[in-house]
Amino acid sequence: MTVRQSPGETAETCPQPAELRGRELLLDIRHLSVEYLTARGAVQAVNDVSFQLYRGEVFGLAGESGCGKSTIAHAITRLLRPPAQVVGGQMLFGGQDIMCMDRETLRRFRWSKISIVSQSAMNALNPVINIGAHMADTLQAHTTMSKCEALERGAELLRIVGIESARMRSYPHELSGGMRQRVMIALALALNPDLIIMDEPTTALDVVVQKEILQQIEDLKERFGFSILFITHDLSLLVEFSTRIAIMYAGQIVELAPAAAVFRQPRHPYTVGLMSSFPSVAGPRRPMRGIPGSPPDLAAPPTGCRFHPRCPHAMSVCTKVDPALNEGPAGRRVRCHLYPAQ
Amino acid sequence: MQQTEASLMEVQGLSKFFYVGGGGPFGLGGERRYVHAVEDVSFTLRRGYILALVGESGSGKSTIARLLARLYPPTSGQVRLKGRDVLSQHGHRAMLAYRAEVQMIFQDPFGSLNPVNRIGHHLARPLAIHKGLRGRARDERIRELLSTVGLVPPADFINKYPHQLSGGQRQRVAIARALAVDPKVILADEPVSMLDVSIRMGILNLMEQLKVQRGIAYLYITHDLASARYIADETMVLYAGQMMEKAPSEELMQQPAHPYTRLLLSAVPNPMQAKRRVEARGEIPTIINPKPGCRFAPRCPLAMPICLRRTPEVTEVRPGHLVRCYAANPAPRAVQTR
Repeated sequence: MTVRQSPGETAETCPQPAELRGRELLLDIRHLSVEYLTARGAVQAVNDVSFQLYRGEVFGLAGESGCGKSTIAHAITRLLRPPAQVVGGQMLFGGQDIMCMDRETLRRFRWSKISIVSQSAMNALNPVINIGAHMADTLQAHTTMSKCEALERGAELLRIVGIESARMRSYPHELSGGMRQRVMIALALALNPDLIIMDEPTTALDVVVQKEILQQIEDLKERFGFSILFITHDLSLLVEFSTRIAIMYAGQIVELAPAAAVFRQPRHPYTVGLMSSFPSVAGPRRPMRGIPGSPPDLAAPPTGCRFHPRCPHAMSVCTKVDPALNEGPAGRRVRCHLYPAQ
Repeated sequence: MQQTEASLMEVQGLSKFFYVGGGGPFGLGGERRYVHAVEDVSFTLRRGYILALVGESGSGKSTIARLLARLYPPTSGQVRLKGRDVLSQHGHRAMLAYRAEVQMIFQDPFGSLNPVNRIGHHLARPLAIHKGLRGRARDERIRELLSTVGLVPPADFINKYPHQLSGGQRQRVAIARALAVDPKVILADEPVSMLDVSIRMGILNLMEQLKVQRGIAYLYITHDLASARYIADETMVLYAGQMMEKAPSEELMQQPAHPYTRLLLSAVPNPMQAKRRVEARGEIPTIINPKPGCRFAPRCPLAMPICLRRTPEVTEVRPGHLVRCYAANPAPRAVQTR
C-alpha cells in the first residue's frame, strides 16, 4: 500500500522563480492526471503534474519514452482521445480553464493561442497536397482570409523560416526532413500564438540541421515573443535551450529547476543518473553508468517512490511512501525523500 | 597498410555504387547513373579495439556495415580478415566461416528478434549452426551467454518472448546472439540510438567490457560524436560516402583538422560551452556521378577554388591523424603552381 506524502507547499502558492519575476503567468497546470484505459486496467500516464509557464519562457519537459511528456502536450491541446482521459486536475491558460472550453471556443483557442509542432513532420504533412495548400487550409480555417490572402501570408511565413516561397508548390516528399520541420514551424507561427508546444521537434534530424533549426526557433522567439513548451528526451539539448526544466519519470515530475541548476547540481537521483547518461564531446572523460534497470510498467507501478527499484540511494521509506514534490530554494522542487520539505 | 600482430580486419579502398538508372532501354536514356554511397574508404580493425564511424544520414556509414557483413558485394575494394582475402570466397561454406568470425548488432532490437520465438531459441540457433552444440551442453552455454550480457538470472529470460523484454534487454539478447559464435569482429550499427537514454550507457559499457575481456574488435557506427568519444579508441568521420578525417578519438574531438568535423562538433549540444552559432547551411547531398572536387566544398566555410576542381587526397597531418582537406595542410606542389 502506497502512502502519499502531501506536499509541503502546494503548487498554487508556489513562488515565482526569481529570473521570471514580473512575467505574466501564461499556462498553469495544476495536479493534472491522465489515464489510459487498457485491457490490463487503468494506466496512469500522467500523475499529479503541476507546473507554471510564464510569458517569454522556454520551459523544458524531459524524460524517457513512456514517461508521459507527450501525453501532457496532448492534454493541454485537448487532443487526447479515448482510451486516454484526463481524470483530475486543472489546466488554466491565461486564467481560462482549457478543460471547460466548448467546441467553438476550443477551435478558436487552438492555433491562435497555442499551436503544436509534433515530432515527425513526415507524418504530420499530408503527402498529396502541396505546402501552399497546407498553409492556406490552416489560415482559412482560423481566419476570414480569402484564398489569395492566405496564400500570400503562407509565402511570407515560409520566408520567415528561411524557405523560398517557390516551395509553396512543392509536395512534402520533395522537401528534406529539415525543411519539412521548418514548414511545421511556419504553420505553428501562422496565427501568432502565445505558446508553441514543441514535441521532440528535432529528434529525427541530423545534428547540424537540428542546431540550425534550434537557432532559428530562438531567433523567431525573440522576434515574435511567444513562449515554448519544449519536450524532448535529450537533456543536454534542453539544458542549452531552455529557461527551466521539469524532469519526468513514470508520469510524475521528479525535479523542477532552472536549467543551469539541473546541469550544475542535479538533486534527484534520477536526474543525476540522466546527467550521467549523456557523454560529452568536451571536458574530462569519465566513466558513465547510466541508470541500471528499465522504466517501470505503468499499469503496475512500483509502490512508494516510482524510481526506488533503480535508485542507488533507496531507503526503506522509499518502498512505502511516495514522496511529495517539495519546494526547495531558488525555485527548485524535488520529489525525493533525500530532500524533505524545508 | 601494414598487417600488425593485432590487426584483424583490413579494409582497403572500399567503394559501393548503386545503379539508379540511365544507360539503356529500360533504365532509359542518358549516361548510366550511380549513387556513390561509399567511395574509397580504408581502415583497420584491431583486437580489443573500437573504431567509430561517425556521420549524418546519407554519409554511407550503414552501407559500410552491410558491405562488411557481406549483405551485398562492394563495387571495388579489398577486405582481409586475418590476412585472408574475404571477398574472393563465395558460397554457403565460406559465408558460414566468415560469419563465425564477424557478427552484427542492428539498430532496432524490436525488429531484429523474431517475435514468435523465445529468447532461448534465438541463442540456440547460432550455437547449433556454428558450434554443433546440442542438448544439455547447449542449454548450459545459453545460460552462460545470458549471464555474460547481464540478463540474470538466465532462467528468467530463456523462456520469454521478445515482446516481454524492454528495449535494453532485447539489445542485450542481440549482443548475446552475436557472442554465441565467439566472433572476432562485431559490427554494431547504431546499437543504442533506439534505446531509452538511461539504458544506453549500460549497453555501451557492456560492449567496452567485452572488448577488454574477449579482445573483440568493434566497428561502432553512430551519428553521435559524444558516444564515439566515450567508447571508441579511434574515430572516422564520413561525409557523402568519403572519409573526411580519422584520428584517435580524443585527438579528433580536441584538435579537429577538417572543417566538417568542426561543424559537427559545434552542432552537438554542449551545456559546458557558451552558445555558438553554426553557419553552414544544407544537408548531405546525394552523390550521383560526382564531378571531381571535395564533397563538402559547397557547405565549407574555407572553400577555395581548388576544392571545387580536384578531390583532395588523404594526408597525414600528425601520426595516425588522416585528413582529406586542402585547408588542413599545405597544398600539394602540383596544385600550388596553378
